[in-house]
Amino acid sequence: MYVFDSMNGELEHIYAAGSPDAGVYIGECYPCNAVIDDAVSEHNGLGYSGTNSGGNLLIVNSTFRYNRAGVVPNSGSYELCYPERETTIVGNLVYSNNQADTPAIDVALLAMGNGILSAGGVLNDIERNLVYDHDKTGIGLVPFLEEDPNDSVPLPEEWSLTCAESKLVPPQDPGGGILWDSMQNRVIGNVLENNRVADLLVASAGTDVSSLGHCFTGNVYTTTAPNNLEVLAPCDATGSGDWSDGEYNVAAWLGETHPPSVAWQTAPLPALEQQVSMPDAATAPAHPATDVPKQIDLAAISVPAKPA
Amino acid sequence: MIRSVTAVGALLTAVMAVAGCASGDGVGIGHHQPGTARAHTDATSLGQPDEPIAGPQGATPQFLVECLYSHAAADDPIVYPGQPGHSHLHMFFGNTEVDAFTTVESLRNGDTTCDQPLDKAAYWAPALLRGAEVLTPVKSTAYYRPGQGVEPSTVQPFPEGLVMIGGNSGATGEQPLSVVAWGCGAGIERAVRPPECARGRNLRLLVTFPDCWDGENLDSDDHHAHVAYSSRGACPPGFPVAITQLQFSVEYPVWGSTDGLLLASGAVTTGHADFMNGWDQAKLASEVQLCLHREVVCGVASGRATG
Repeated sequence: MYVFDSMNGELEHIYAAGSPDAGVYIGECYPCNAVIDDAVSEHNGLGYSGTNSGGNLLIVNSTFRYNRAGVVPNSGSYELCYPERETTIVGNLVYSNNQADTPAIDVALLAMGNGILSAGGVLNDIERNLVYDHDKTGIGLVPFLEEDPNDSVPLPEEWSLTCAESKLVPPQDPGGGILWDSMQNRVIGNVLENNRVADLLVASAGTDVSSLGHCFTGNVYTTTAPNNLEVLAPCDATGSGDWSDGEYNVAAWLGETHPPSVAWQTAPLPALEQQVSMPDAATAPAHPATDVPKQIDLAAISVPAKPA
Repeated sequence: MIRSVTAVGALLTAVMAVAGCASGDGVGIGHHQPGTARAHTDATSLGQPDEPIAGPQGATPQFLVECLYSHAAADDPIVYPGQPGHSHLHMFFGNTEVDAFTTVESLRNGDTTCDQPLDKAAYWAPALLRGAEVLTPVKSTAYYRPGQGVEPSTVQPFPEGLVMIGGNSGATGEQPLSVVAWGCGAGIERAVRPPECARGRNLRLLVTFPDCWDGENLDSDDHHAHVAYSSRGACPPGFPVAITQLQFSVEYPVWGSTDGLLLASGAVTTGHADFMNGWDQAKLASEVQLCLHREVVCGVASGRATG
């Protein structure tokens, strides 16, 4: 499901499997004014990808499983309207995104083994998701490095520019690679278990991670990196502690090898089951999308139950 | 996270860190005389793109301009300059003042129906008819891209004053899909004849213009010979300048049956379109640099039938 440079839309009751890139993608929009609701995305390189998207962009009540990586919003100047910001990820089931037999673009290989990974994203709300069984992180807030960028990283005061407005800003040659730090994300009320590097993780590649402005509150977890993230950076109080305690060297990921991509034509896929959210799909009449996106009562969404 | 592998070594480090309007009527530039024998130039004699560049939008660097329908006239300032009423009926988009007397210079004085106000180019295509009824188009979209396989950073903006024709108004058979195609909405289907489109998806004519220039002439006697199509990412001998590949589409409010459809130039297989460069040159150059050279998608076309 590929949405690009578009806004005011809705993806609901969808199933996506077998893509080397993302099963579900929304990119290059701000504000997007879009909803992803009741999606199932599995056996893709990325369950969800959103490059430079956000602004009233809701990802809710969906399942991302058995992908190389689960939900991966990111920033990058190879597409316009950077940075990725203000994506709301609530009430999703994200598990077992370590799948080695999928097709995969390079980024999917690098992100492999992560549940929800904000790669250079800012101002995202990640709340009340159930995230488990990942080789790396449950929820990771990490930087994104571009070696050959098209522009410099915009300053925070430019984050409020709409996509259309930002396209008119002349690019500035950064003179070399740029680092998109993930900043000011709010991680609240998620339930995490069995994420083998850390349930919750903050990392950079040179930036003082204590300055990134993330916050963590009310999550159910076992491990974090650095240690004690909810004490270091609570959302509703002043943090304290040692950010260097348990700080993670995310640069090590660059040197890792992963199972290679499998051709999408031959990659194994699960049998396509009856899609209960799409009854009579072959004959159901079209429902014109004249009033989208629908309103979502975020407060009413709770952490999903673990599947049997 | 779309990004081609070849374009993204960087991402490896990611997570960390008318035949014209007369296909060449054998007319001299501005010197056509009615009744002149047609030395027909088949568009394909100058090469053709390897294959159609088709969706999804977002995978190919591009910028685009959407232009509403402006007006209709039996004029063609490229093929029948100064001879109003000599052409078959054309539908004009973009510059609002185009008639038989239009020149590249006069384009600067017109207004534009395009959403890019600095694009005062003239775009036109033959009218689509159902029987005797002229079907008013909804809009047009001009996609500006590198030719298929052409290194984007080598693509040059159209020179000021360039005129071109894509397709062959005199085609006696089906034209290559890579040059002239019909489709529905923004879908990737391509057909040599109009398909039956589902309600909500407008019938669309898509014409791909040449993307190589001889570097000298802004026009030629047959209006084709100064430009050619690239093949396998390279321009043919004699056409050393890779220029932006213009793909021009016209949408018609036609759904369902295609019975009785004709183009004003003849059968539905005579699709073609014409272009006179009336862009603000600095803006055009900027768009080429910012979008094509940087390999970013600066915009996509809406698939909505209402435009």
